[in-house]
Amino acid sequence: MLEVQSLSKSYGAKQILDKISFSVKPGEIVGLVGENGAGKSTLLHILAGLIKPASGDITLNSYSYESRPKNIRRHIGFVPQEIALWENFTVNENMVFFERLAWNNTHRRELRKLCQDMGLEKWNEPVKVLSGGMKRKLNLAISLIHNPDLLLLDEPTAGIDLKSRKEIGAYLTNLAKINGKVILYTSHDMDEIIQICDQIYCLGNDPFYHQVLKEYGRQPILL
Amino acid sequence: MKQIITTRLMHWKKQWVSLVFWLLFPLLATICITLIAAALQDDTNVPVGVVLEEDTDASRELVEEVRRAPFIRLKLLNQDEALYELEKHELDSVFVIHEGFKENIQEDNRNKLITSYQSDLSFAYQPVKEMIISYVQQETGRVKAAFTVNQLEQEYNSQANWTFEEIVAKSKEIQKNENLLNTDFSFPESPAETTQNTRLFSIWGLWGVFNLLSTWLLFDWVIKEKRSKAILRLAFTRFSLKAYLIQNFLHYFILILLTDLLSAVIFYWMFGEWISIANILIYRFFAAAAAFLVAHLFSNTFVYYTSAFAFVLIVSIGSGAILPASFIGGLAWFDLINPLAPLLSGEYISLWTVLITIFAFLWIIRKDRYHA
Repeated sequence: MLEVQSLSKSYGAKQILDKISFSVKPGEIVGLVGENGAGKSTLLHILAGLIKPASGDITLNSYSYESRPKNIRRHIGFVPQEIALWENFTVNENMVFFERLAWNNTHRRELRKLCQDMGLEKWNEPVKVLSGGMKRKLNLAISLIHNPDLLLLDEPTAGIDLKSRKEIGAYLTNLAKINGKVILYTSHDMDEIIQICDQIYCLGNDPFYHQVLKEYGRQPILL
Repeated sequence: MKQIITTRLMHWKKQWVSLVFWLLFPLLATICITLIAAALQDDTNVPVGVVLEEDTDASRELVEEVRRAPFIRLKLLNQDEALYELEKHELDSVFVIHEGFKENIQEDNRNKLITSYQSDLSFAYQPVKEMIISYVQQETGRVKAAFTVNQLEQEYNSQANWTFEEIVAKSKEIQKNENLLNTDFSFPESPAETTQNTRLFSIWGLWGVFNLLSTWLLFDWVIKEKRSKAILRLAFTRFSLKAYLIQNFLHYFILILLTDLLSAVIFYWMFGEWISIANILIYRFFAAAAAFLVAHLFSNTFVYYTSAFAFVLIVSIGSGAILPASFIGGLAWFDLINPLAPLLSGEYISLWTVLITIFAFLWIIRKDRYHA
């Protein structure tokens, strides 16, 4: 269970997040939408423990970010917007590289299964020759090596084909429903957000997103 | 530590060609330049031909005396070959040591022992001739001394009964021990210059310069990996960015140090040059830590490489390792900031090692940027 209380963050005079509060139960997928600069990535980075908030409390499974700063990140999986991979390594080498650095040991067979489950079959291909969709899948797979409770995804399907997008969406839905993960997800693709997210949080003051979500028949929660 | 070794080996496996090249570059470049310089130095020596008509210890000793002379390249030939090469100006001058050389010296007969030839282009003839004359005079002097000692023995009925060979051998022993003919003079408070090492370049100086360059280029991994998006994932592993960098630094340090020790053994084996292990260890720490810390200041590898080459060029010009340092006017302050000075002078503490240690300590205690 992820609980956020009165979270604020500003860059200089610009207030990005203003006392936002929400909670996400295990098995839920939450979509974050909003215009560019609304604070989606900032919120994800704060939840990932990469940025310090100005004020507010965050707890994950009742552990406070403030009181357990060193241990909290072992329960978090973060999929950055960029392709965060070693381009000259193969899929296998990338998985093994980050498995070696992870808190828990995972057998190579399980690593391969993790990739296969999301349709990433090219185990011994160098990353640089993979398609955008395959790279995105590997980007996601590496974030799951240490079996995190909270998965934060910053536009994980940006710039990839529809098939790969559907496969990633289906995988995330299973991950939340079957394994009880808490998933927070940002995307500019409304169809995708509507399809896989249980709740949709809207950041920023732009009424456009509220309007679009209402057209889709979904009620956004304003943060 | 084991986990980081595995991940480092994965990186090394991908870049083994450049890794091996830059690891061995200081060793190979130093050997190549030293051998080429020695060959060039040999080619610039004056070729002098010697014809040996008799093979005795006296004639061989004379040949060795000429061979030991600096800037002379001695060739042993028969007379026809020697004169042919002299005519073609391939030899500067020719000296023929005639049959009966030793016997004539022992009989104090100093005439017509050696015949010399020169051409209109000879310029080493006079000094070599003087050297040979001096040697012959030295040997005949020894013979005279032996003759006199024998006479005195007989005159005073001595019981010692020294043989002629014993007296000559004793004379040579005294000459060697007293080193009368080879004395270095120097001004007070200035070190005497050694005449032992006639190499154009200091082997350890060359190695130090090349090593500085290769170390800096090997440490480009700091820039490449810090710039990589993949490094963001370290925040979600058991290693902080700092721990990851420090442990990888140690692996590079050990790898390069092992190559340094291999270089030391090879230099000793090939050139008889040795340096203290403590000196190598401290220089290695300085070079590796400096490269590691400096790499943190760059985000572009091209600018880093350019800076490395520029720095090494300045060091090689100013340090005296490659070019003589006297042209910068023997400035004491340059010795102080010369990063090669501790390696070449054998001192353990220098301005650089102190500064690098302080900066390394400050970097280590600096806080990690991640919040949680």
